[in-house]
Amino acid sequence: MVSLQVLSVGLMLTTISLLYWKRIVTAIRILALQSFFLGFIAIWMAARTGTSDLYVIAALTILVKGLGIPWVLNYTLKKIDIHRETEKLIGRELSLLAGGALLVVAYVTTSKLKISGMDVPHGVLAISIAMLLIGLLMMMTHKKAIMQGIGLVVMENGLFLAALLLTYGMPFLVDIGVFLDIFVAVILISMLTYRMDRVFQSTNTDHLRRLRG
Amino acid sequence: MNLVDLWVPSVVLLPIVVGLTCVFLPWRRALEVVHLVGVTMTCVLLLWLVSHVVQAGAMTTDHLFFHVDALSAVLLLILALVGWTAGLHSIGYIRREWSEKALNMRQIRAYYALYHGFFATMIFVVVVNNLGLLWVGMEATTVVSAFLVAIYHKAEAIEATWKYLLLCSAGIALALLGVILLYASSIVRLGVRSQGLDWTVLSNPNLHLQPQLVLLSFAFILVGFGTKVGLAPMHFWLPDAHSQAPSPISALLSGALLNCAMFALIRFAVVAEDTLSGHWVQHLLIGFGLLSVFVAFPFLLVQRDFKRMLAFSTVEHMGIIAVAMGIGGPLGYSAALFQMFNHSMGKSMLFLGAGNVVQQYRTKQMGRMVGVLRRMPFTGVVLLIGLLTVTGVPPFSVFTSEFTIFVAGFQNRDILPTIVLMALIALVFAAMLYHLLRMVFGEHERVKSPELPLSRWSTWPLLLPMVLVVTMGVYAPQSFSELIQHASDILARIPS
Repeated sequence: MVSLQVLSVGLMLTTISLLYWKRIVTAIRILALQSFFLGFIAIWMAARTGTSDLYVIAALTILVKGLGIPWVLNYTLKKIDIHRETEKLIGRELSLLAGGALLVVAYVTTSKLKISGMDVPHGVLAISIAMLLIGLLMMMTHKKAIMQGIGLVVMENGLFLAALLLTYGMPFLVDIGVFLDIFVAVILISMLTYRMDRVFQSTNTDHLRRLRG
Repeated sequence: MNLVDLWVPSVVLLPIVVGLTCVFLPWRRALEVVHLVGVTMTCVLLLWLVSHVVQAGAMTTDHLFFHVDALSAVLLLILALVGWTAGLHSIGYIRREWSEKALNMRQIRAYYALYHGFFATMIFVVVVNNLGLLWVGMEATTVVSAFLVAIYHKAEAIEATWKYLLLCSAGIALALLGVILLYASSIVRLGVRSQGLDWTVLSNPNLHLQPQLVLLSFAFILVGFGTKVGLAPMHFWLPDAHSQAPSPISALLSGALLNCAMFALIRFAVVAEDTLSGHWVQHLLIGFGLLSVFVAFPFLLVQRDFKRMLAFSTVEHMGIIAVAMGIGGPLGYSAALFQMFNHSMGKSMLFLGAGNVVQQYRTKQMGRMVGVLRRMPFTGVVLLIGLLTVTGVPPFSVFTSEFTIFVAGFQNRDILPTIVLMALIALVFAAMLYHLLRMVFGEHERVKSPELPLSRWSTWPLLLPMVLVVTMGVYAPQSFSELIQHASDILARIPS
């Protein structure tokens, strides 16, 4: 149980620190680290419940989310090769503050939820909901296309953690399908980022303002 | 091993095989032939499956992987008709784009390959039994169709695709949380089993799930799949994606994809309704539905872009269907499904007709599309009948289904929502009629350059939906009414 708590604190710290770093390369590395933590939690869960499926899922988490997705994102970044800093609607301090507020919201809402049959601490569930919310916050406040994509992956990571805690992972095929979907979505995000850079000479989504009403 | 175990998977696999074949074909003619044969075979298989369900009832494959009941059959029928019409129209549309150098060979190959991939994901959503895999299929439709929306490398297309992908992925991530909560609730009752998310298990009305969890789960599902259906206020991606996609794809998005999302929403709604006391599900559906119709009206009125106007009309119709699903009861559900069918036929024919007009006039602005009836008589008639249909003018089929929705509303004593709905539909009718009269009639400007005639591929396929909307308003075949009846029995929990 202690290892679970240590790993989930790791998840929380990586998520919050994503709001802090200014360089996109660093953000991608943090995302990879977060996915590794998530993979270890899946291994811990597999050992505890004795489900062999979960080992496969854990391996896939590390392979797809820890190595594959960061590689795709880094590759895109290298191809466009300019403006490697993030840009946001709100400043660094304000977004950290908002992240903290979302964490509180997550704790309050999950503590009211009564789920019979769940035997892991509520705090960990709160962290999964907080990851979901902070991912959403990143998608809304970041202006750089790649960072919005990273927000989407953070959301997915939060959902994956929630599924592990509440249901010991989804049915096997469902989990595989979810991995496939998120991987293709990231490839598409990278492709669009590249095209955006070609057409607008920038990956700032402020340029996407033509379609109105 | 019987026939069904091969049949249902083959309906999903065939378009995938055809799509993969398209990737490797270097010649445009060969692509067209493979596409034509593939799309026709898929649709014949689908219709065969539908007729089998009409005669023999629901069927389930080995290991309960696929489950095709009357509700899926209604959706499969819509998919087959829209998919085939848009598929044939694609040939004419793409030839024209090719001759005007708007698309190159690589893009054309990607178009045909993804068309079948998109078709396969939609069929998968409708026939799969596990509600978790249904979620996977739904997200797959987003990813595949986003590639199709982005097929033109223009600034507007990139913007539309970006909004579509991010909004729908974020929305559908929330729906995944709903699925997880539902699964958690089912585990408490049934223990950890891989069937815990199967529709065949969860649709049992005597399964007592935890109401608190199910309510929370349904709230996330409604927001998540509601984004994909295009319910207000989550509809912002819809007009952009519909207006920027190639016209046959707009027809597929509006006529097929949104119905699949509505189908997913309704599957979960039935499970939630069994568990929750009170009328939570009904009130939520009616509320979101009315809001969608209400939001669509002002945008319809001020719209200048023809395809955007059609997209807002789609938002309106999805709202009407949601209200009808919320009213419920045997009559409400069957009216909702009939409305779904009619809207798909009417709207797909409008988007395809719009594609012809846009290619001929080289603009999407309605202000410059005057006198369509004189310049392109066939397409003009299609637009005229299509617009009269979707605004609910008798004797066309949408009138019949909307009228039934009102009757169901009064019968179920949802008096106020029904009156509001009637008023809003009347307003939308006025707004669309205003655009229609200017566009279809009126003198067209003299054409400066000699223009290419439209290919027959772009016109003749539109006859199919046109005949259906005209005849279905006055006469529906016996087997079709039976199918709708069986499907609404599933939703109204009447054991057959």
